[in-house]
Amino acid sequence: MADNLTTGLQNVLTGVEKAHGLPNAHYTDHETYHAETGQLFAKQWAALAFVADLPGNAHVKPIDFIGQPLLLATDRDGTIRVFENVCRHRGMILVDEAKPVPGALRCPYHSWCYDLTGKLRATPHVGGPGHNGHDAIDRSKLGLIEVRSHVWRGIVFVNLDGNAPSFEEANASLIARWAEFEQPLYFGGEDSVFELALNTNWKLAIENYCESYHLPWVHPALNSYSRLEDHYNIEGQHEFSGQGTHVYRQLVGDAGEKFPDLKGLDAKWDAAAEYIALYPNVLLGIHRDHSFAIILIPQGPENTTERIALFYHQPEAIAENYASLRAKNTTQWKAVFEEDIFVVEGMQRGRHARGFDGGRFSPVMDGPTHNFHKWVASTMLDRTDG
Amino acid sequence: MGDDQSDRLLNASGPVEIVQTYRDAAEQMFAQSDENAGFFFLTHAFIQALEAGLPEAEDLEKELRDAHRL
Repeated sequence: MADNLTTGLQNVLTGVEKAHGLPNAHYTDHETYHAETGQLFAKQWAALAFVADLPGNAHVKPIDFIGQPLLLATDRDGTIRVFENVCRHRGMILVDEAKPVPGALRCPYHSWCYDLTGKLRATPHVGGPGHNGHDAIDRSKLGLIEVRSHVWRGIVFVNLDGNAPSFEEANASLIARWAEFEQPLYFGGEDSVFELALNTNWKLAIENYCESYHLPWVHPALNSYSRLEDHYNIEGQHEFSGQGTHVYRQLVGDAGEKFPDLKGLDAKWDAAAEYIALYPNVLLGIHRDHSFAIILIPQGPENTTERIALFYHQPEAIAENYASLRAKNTTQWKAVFEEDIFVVEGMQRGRHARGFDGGRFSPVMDGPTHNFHKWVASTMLDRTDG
Repeated sequence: MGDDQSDRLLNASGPVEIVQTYRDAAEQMFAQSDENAGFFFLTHAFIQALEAGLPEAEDLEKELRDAHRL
């Protein structure tokens, strides 16, 4: 890492009163982007997809994730796995589109076949025409390469390098914080998922999400009932930061209906909600009656795809009679997230200003953002120092 | 594989017909004592059945294994 970048990262790792934000290169430079995807994504637990991306058992979906061709799969028993989407023979991409798999996955090149647990089932003509085995080809050692994965809150996480602590260990603080919410989630269905394509670095989406400072200016409708002073910072943890509110109001339908609540919640959640960025790339929101998750998929240093899904806490909330309320909820959240686009794209353009030094933080309002910058800087410097 | 079998493959309605066409081609080759060509087509029947999840994949696999062709 260049000395000026290292110095820039050191400038992040001081108290919030004196700290500067991350250097411009962390938002615009391809080399730095690739260093980040290696250190901040491949070595951590990163969000890859929603469980709901697979419509049922025995389905696959190819996903290009930070330059890696991956394959999300469920087997016939519903077990979710992630593989490298590549045939062990000549490295051909195995699957080009999401699809059900009635039998085996067949490589389109020479027809080597794999089952949904990754086992190599057939190697046609590998020993010559009509000879489907060869002593040099041990099928038991040539299964699909599995990527370490874990499912939490409807999200499939992956640890690409396979060396991170267990997901539960790595995220113990957040799991404990939201222990009351460790109950089944019900994906809202097709009316509860959407994507946004952003011309911004992935980190700016995190930075904007985890602080409440911008709410009165960027989301005036939200501020009409949830004022800035009703919010609190969530910071001080290594792997996440965010904000909470004390005045969450449930959505009400035309007939006065509301989504049913999660059972057994503490009374504080009657009016509270929390919005947390779990590093590196998932934004979570929880409320008494529904949750949402936003997965950030970096598409290079200056482009990001946001994939948003809404979940409910009781099975009746995903029934047809709640369809209009679900649609209203999706529309409401989509409007909020779209209000943020000009901000994250404006900050991205601003990162091309040669004189910009990473900026400064409000010691009172920007703690969660500084928390994230510290995680980026310290994790990147670990690589440098190591 | 004869022209009629090639036509059947090109116009097959689905994997069941494709597998049967390859099996027929294999039987034809075995009947002509062309063992290698027979196992070539039997291999294709197996792969198609395996990909499609057809129950006969199991029988075809056993047939190939018993012939030391797997």
